[in-house]
Amino acid sequence: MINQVIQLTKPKTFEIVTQHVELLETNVIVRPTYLSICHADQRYYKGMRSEKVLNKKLPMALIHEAIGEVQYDPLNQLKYGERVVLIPNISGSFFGFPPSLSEKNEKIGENYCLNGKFRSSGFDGFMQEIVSLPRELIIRTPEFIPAEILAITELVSVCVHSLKRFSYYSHGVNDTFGVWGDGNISYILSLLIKREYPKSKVIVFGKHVDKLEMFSFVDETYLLNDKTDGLIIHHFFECVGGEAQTDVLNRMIDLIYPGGTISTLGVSETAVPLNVRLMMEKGIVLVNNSRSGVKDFQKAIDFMQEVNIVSYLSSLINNVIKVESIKNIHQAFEMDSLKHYGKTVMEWRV
Amino acid sequence: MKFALILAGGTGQRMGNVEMPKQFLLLNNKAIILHTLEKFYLFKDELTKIIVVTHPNWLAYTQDLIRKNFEKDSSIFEVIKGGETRNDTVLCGINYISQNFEITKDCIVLTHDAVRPFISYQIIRENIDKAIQYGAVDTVIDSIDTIVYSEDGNEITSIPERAKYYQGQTPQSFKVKELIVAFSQLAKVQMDTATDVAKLYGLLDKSVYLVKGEQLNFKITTPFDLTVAKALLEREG
Repeated sequence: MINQVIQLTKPKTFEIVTQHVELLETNVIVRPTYLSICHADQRYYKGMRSEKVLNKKLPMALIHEAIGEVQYDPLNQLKYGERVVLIPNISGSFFGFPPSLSEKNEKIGENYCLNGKFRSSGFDGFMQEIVSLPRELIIRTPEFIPAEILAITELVSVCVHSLKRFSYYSHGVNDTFGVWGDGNISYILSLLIKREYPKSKVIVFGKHVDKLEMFSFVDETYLLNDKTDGLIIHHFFECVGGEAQTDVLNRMIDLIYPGGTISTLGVSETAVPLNVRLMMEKGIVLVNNSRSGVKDFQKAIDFMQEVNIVSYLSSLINNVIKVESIKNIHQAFEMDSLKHYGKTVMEWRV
Repeated sequence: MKFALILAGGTGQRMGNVEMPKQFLLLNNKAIILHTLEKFYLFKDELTKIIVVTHPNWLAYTQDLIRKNFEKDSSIFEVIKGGETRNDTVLCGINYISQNFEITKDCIVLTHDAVRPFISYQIIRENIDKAIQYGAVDTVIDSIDTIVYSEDGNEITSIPERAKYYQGQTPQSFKVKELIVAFSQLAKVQMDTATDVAKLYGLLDKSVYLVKGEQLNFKITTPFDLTVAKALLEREG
């Protein structure tokens, strides 16, 4: 059948293209229903990536955080209209490559598969009329979680993934965690750490007083210029990225207690110089994380069912915009870029 | 119950190819009608039947096409013979429904041209929802070109206000019982002059509500349309 895909052809320009979709035994057809806008989508939309990257990746449909409703399952395992989370990470074996070490080894994960593709990063995202997905890349959802919150499951799964990798590589003394950044990832990750390590102290470092106020569940918050004398941080999570990443990582290296783990979740357009000498002296473990895998999504859904988590996540969703046309998509992206914090979710009616 | 009635009664005269009706011409190696049917097939859990009303000469061919494409799962489809005109063809479909199913006042039917293969999920969804809500809906798009009205075909009589004019597409969707009544109230001559079912409703002073269509949901009627359709699929991302 013919499917409509809304691609970004150049910054701030969307076009509808048509693609042929086959009904396959292996795939489920899903109608996307709620799509959440990520910073990465905004960087493409606003043309904030380099010209080389834009030329390489566009045209492309944006959005990798989404849920949908099952429209067609050839095996009838999923119910018609069943609400599901869509996984944007498609590892190499789905494209016919032999299973890679990343896919087979739990400690690496399919999201590091070199033959894999990620939606809205060189591969069409979920801004489509319908999406054909391998059934393994669909997760059932509990009914009580509102759709707009489920739309950010991918974001939660990225936090789950980083915490899982932290557990693989850290020394096991977890009295104090430092989370650097006052944005969405930092918020969700702090929430997750508090649940996973209830006896540990979580300290959030941020730039904006009002955003730090949102972190009502953490133990302490610090503004960038606050004195940190005598503070012991066993492990850090970096959720900043961008131009500030160099400064933030080097400040973490200064502050962290020897043997600690620094986990990175932020991304920067440029290479980041680090104080490796001090990292060596302190025996710091650097754990870099990117995206998430199927099991991380499943665990994210489990986490979202815990007491009060939906309530905490609700405070991140500050715009739900009904989108029926390309004009509405522009409005959603523009509104999203004006917001001070939180997420914009598009109710997809295109 | 919800039904889809796919109108495939054409013989392709305007396509300049009388051997193969336009709904059977290939688009991306697949018959145009199959693209259309696959989109409706996505609603198979909601639809009781997808009825394809075809020209009598092409009945067996249409049956074969559907059986091969949908293999084991073609039971949702029923292929029946259509009539001489568009309204006759719709009437054939309605008669089939009323003879084979227990029709209640809430049953709806979506009537759609087989040669509009670019129909979207959203258009079908809105037709279902709004036909249930309003009883009769027509899919339309804004009129882009200026509409010119001429009584004699030689000079302009008037130029109506474009904002109030729309171009009709399909689906046109109705409550089945009301549609049966509408057909029964019209004389044969009225049926023959009305080009589509929404117009029949107009003759009976019955309200028909609008569903937003899309330019892409165009009808493949001429060789030019087919060229455009192929070009659209060739530039796929």
